[in-house]
Amino acid sequence: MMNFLPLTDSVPLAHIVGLGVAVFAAGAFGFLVRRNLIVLLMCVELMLNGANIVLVAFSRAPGAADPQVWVIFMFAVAAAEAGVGLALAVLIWRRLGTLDIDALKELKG
Amino acid sequence: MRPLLLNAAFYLLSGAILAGAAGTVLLRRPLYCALSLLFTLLATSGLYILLGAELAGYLQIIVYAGAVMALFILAIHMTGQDEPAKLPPLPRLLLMAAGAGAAGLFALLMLASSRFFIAFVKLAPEPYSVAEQAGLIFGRYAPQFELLSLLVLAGIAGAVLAAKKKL
Repeated sequence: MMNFLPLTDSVPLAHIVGLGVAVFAAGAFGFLVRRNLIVLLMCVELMLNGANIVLVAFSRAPGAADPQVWVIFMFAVAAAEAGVGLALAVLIWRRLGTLDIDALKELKG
Repeated sequence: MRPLLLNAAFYLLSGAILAGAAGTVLLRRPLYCALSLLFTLLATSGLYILLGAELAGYLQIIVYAGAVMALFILAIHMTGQDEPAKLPPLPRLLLMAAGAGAAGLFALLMLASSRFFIAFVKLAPEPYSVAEQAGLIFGRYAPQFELLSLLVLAGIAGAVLAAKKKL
């Protein structure tokens, strides 16, 4: 009954949610393995982007505009996060001369 | 547009988004990561417009691909990160554990949302009007909107305080 890759003007919700979740998982993987602070922030943006894709997909499936409004709110959150995060990155670079997170050991007991 | 073209556009954009995400995570130079992320964000805005979220798509180009990415590229150049860092390679175990964790996350999230998967999403539907969304933002979500403006204000103040050498 489920007709995958149909030649219609619609796609299964599973494909769109899968795309969003895959982008989210890729961002999470990058956050775990990268060591440059700025690249870590980019991975966070990637995760936010994946979440936004899922929200837009679900806003179309049951048919309410609310999730699209949440996506717009998320843009503001992401912009604030990037602003503060990059300011902190510049501050850390000025203090330590590096953005390698392995060099951040000041909180070690 | 013909249905087949819409369908092909969706899968092309999906491939572009996934390729850009992979590039962001895997490329060595931070500047290339940033350009790859920019590519992902632009493809995502195309996807939003294809799914009928036009306002979100245009705002994605303006706010994300415009302002936020400009900030990232400025920070990369300011801190001289355009060369790849010469670091010892990560332990193989860590890479495998992170890969397994990401795969598990993917499986878990797909499992959690799988009961909705019988639904289909129409491509290029009539978009929700800007007036309708503005009605929601300034109606039902007005308190959240005000909180958001407070958050952005706090973000601006925090960024200035953090980055300034001497007040």
